[in-house]
Amino acid sequence: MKYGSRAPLPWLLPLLALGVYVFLYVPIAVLVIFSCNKSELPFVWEGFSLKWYTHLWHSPEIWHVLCNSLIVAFSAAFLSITMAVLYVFYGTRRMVQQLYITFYASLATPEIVLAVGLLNLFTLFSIPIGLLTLIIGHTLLGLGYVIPIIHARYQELDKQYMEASLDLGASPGQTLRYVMIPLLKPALLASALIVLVISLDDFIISFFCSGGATQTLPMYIFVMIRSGASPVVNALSTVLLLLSSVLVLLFSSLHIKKMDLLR
Amino acid sequence: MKYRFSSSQIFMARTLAVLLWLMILGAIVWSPLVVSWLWQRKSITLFVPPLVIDPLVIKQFEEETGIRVHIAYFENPIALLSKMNASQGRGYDVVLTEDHALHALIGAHLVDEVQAEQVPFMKKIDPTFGQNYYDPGLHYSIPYYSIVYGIAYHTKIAAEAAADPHWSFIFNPPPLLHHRICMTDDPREALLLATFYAKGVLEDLRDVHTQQEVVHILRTQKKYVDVYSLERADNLMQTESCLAAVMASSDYWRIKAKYPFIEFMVPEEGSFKAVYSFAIVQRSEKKELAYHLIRYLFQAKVLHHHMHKFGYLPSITSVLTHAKTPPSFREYGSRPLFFFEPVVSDRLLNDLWIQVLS
Amino acid sequence: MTGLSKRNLKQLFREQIPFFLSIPSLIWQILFFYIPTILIIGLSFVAMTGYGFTLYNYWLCCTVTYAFIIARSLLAAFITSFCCVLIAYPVCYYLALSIERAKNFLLFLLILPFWTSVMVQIYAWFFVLERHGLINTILLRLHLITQPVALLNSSIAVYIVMIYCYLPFMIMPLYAQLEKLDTRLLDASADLGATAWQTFTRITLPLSVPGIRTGFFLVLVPSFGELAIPALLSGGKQLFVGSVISQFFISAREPHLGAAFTVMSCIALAAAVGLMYMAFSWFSTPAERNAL
Repeated sequence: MKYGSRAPLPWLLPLLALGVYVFLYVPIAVLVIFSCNKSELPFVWEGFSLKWYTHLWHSPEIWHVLCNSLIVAFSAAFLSITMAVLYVFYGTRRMVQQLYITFYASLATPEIVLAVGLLNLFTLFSIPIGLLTLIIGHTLLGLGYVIPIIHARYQELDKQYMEASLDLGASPGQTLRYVMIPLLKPALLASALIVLVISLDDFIISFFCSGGATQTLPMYIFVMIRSGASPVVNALSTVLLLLSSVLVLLFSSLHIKKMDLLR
Repeated sequence: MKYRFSSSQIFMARTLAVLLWLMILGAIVWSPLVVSWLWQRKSITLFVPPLVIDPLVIKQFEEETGIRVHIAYFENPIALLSKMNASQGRGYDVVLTEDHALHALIGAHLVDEVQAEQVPFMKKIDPTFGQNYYDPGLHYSIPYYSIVYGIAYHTKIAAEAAADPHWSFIFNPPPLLHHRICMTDDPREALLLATFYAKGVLEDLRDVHTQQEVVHILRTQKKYVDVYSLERADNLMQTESCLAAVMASSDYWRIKAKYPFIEFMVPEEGSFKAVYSFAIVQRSEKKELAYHLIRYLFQAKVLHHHMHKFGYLPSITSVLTHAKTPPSFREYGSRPLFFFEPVVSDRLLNDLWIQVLS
Repeated sequence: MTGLSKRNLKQLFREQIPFFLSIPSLIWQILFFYIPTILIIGLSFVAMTGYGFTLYNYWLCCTVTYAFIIARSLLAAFITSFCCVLIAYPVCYYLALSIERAKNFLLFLLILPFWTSVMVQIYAWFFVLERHGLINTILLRLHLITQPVALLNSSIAVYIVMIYCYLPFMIMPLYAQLEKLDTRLLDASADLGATAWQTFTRITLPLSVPGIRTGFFLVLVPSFGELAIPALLSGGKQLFVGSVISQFFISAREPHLGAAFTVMSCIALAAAVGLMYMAFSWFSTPAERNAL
């Protein structure tokens, strides 16, 4: 039922909606277009050229930074999902029911407070700041997103599968591996994708918790913007954009599949 | 039959479980320290600002000597100091940085005394470098190059610039320059520049009345400023977003061939310079290799290459007065030049700067 | 653990394995979130010289300058949140209630910018707002202006980009709320003779308040502590809470003052959130108040 169409100005609502889409996509479109700019000056169009992408391809620094970002993202996803699954499965009812709201606190505080707290903790205990501290920070972020998802999905599961498995003689570990994880698979994949994207795009925690040699992609882009950019930044941004989009596409298709399955 | 455990026993077992996890976490988190201590590879870490050392030169060094060099960059001296303080110098072997950052590093005992026999070229360095506030006599640092601060301006306003070749060009600019100035974002540089403009003597900043005057000057300047940034100054001039900018001579030199509409001037009443020197990190265990790298970088051909690529003024006199060196390089030293000395504490500078910007 | 035989000990530990396996996430959360927060609060009370309880750090932070900075950040956060509501509502309404085909695809397109990095989004706006950028080029070509307008390096740029970056945070809960709306209510209202505007103001809008509320806070809280957007888009001319905190901890290496300032900003934010929460519950119907 089209509810907006009976309003006095039926074209107003679609126009406003279109306006918002334009607002959202014009900057990104301009960014991508100018990544193919032949000129070195970022704002003057001189012709089509893919040379900045080849520049990107041949730059060892950028590969190093990309490697860092991917390592941190995958580690954070792995750690947060493992810990969440173990918590939800092995935790006693009381522990899970009453304590799982403690994980919401990290979502409710501004990220800069998290970052500053982590930096403070690391310097206080002389923990060397580098890739590991970055992984710790991103896992913390990831936990905040993953635990509600896995918890909600676990509640929805039919407990009879678990009980049947235990009755038939499987140990809890086997139940976890062969019964629960397959049942949870869509939720696991969805949370993995969320944590991957969040970790790849995260800036504030990376800003505070990265050492000299460990920069992530957003940090690198920030430094390049700060010190005067060339279209290499555009090319890099476009690549990052594509990476995130692919992951989100996967996530949405999973989500839609899950909705179809439920129907 | 199963044994029923008392609650205190269960509590102790659970505490042990928590402690076990903490130990595992601790082992993982502190492992890089252990790893770096055990792993004595033939490699050193060079900590430099961006656009100062050519990575290709480093690659040549690696090929010729087999010593791997890892280049770490710091965006500004403040980032350098915080990272060095946080890690107490662990993880870095050679540092190349400005005078005031070195002053802080020397004060914090993070750098080692220079072993004279390892650096035989020291006598070729211009002796005036030894007369400074941060390392008199050059016991801890090996000066590599210096830069001069000045005002870069668009040829559109060349007439105005010729009429007013003083710092008042950016503090009290002609109407064409309103909202088109790029000012430095470093608190020390901005405040000392304003002190020099107002009083001519840097030590005056210790006086409270001068401080208020300086803050007032900078606040009045705010409406003429478009952007506060030293690193992006060259980029902003290139894209003609700003018509005048406080810039380092090296930045100007790098871009002037490509952008002939940018000119540079050093104000007549005097300006500031910064000296960049190498220093060996106290904690480094590969000082021999570090000295090897430094000796390589001080070769005349490497200095010439860097000078032409990055535009700075090398410390070795023979290179500076060489026939191939552009004449303007030698002119920069003709004005009175001061250092951005730490006449007041960093905290006060920060406080005053927050007052300016808020 | 005296008095326990080896076999009993083994049994004790075997029984505690589930506990052992389930606690890492709790340990992680406590160790890396709660303890650092407590440390920050504790640090703010420690004197700069090293030891001793003191309120001096707070005294140093209670200046007009810092209050001004906190106020500016709060203002920016509120403006961002309000504008996000205004901009997001039409789109969410349109998607949730006005169209049926291609809903998923359009929703995907709407959410996609959320998943792009903040850096990419900020950098993209440079190209639109700059002197030779998109807006100025268009305005110049249309001869509406003769000189390029300085849009970048100003408060306007900061607000625009903040709204841009936080819009998806508002869209998601609002869309979810409007999606859940029972359309039979709208049908009934139309059948009973209400005009479209009356239906909107009396039914749709009040029922969507929980979504608006969630979105509002999802935008308010993070945008208060935003660091990258003011740093890059205000030209360094304006200080926000995020830039000051990072300056304290990274540049000036003053963790005590930084901690005190962080605590003060968080208190200010909590107060603002509390006030808004009360305002929301004031304006909603009793039925919704129960739901809240």
